[in-house]
Amino acid sequence: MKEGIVVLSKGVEKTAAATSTCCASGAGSVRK
Amino acid sequence: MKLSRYSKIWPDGVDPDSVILFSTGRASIVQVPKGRLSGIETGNITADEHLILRELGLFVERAENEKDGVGRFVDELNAGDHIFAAKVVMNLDCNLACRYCFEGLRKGKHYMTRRTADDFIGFLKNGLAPQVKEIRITFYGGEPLLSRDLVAYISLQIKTLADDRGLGYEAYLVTNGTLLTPRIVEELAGLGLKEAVVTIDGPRDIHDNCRPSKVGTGTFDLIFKNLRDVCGMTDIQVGGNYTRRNNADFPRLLDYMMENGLTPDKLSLVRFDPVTQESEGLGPPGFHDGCRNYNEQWLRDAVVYLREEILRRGYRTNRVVPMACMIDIRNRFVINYDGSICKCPGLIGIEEYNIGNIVKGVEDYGNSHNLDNWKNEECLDCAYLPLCFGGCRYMKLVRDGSMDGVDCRRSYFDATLETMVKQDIKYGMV
Repeated sequence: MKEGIVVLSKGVEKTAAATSTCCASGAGSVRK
Repeated sequence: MKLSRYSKIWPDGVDPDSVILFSTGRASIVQVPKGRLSGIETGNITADEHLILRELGLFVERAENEKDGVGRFVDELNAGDHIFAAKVVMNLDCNLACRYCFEGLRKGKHYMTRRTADDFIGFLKNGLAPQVKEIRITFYGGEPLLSRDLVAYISLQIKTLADDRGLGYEAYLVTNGTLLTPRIVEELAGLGLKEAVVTIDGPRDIHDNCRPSKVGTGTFDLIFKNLRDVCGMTDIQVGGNYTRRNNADFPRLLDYMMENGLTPDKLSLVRFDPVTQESEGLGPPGFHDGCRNYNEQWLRDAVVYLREEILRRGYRTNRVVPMACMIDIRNRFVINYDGSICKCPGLIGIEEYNIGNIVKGVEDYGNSHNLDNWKNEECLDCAYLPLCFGGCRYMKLVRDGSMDGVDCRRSYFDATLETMVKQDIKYGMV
């Protein structure tokens, strides 16, 4: 059994939320 | 110290003696022995564990202050934002007749002129605050490559501007792919093109039914050939738009791509999304298969199923991370072909939601777009808030006729988030 905490992902900086908007890289929620 | 309210705990799924902790505010993930969980929940942990969990956003100093902190999240994003990004609608014309296109009845022979392009570049220059370090332009339509010369002209102007001011510049194309030839890509790659986002709606039979040419012929083979020809010249993202009826067939497209040269190493991303139902009078008449609400049962199943199919073949897809709406981010704009400005592609051409134009500038849109709709006790209490921030205002508008309130996605995340995060772990998307 593992003893302690294992970090699987450090995640992203808060600012990533500004560049991962639903429309950031594609057509987003609206489709065309 | 206390476990953040913006976190989730799930059984590990692989190791029965462990649990997974996921921060919705940071997308950080840790594995914890079950025996340590009660200590974590009560704050009875070692100094080292304390440090790790705090750095990952899973622990907070004072639980009572955490809601205030998240309440400031979007303001802080705006304060630290160093990007100016605009989607530029080069025209509202298209050589395809997609059955669900949200632009529907808004389309026509409407093209941006050279003068409007120059006015846009002036608007951009005026909008470059000192904190801006990077310009990102997405050429959008209609079909932007029907305005190929103007796309090249704008790119050159902005690339020159960015070079002069020491800023970064990236250009993106959202295109149907029928005109995406090596010659065009070579030209645009020299002008800052970073990625082309191309839609393929599943295997040939489904795609050709959903996305025919204006004369009714299939477009799958032409688009696929173009993608194979250009995939080494710029980043390519393949998107697909599915409905309740056809999503189960989309993995056949993935198999076809694998067998015919569009292997995972050739594509930057593959993402499938549901077609959104458009308002009567705006979308294409006769199309009723669109998604109206992310909480629909079929969509929960489709999202996790298609994500698994993409990832298990080795393609990359969008991982689960905190996400704000472009309406909330100050320096994000949609510039229509006529120079009017709005805050979301769904709002193109809806006068009520224009926020100004490229000559006169931007007006206040806080009230009209219900900017703080998620700053209420129910949302601030919700563990999913950083992944959602009130959901999609456009979907709310279409569904309910108004942006008042929020597009709550709690039951959608209840049903999907655990599986999606475990997919990210399983396939190394962390």
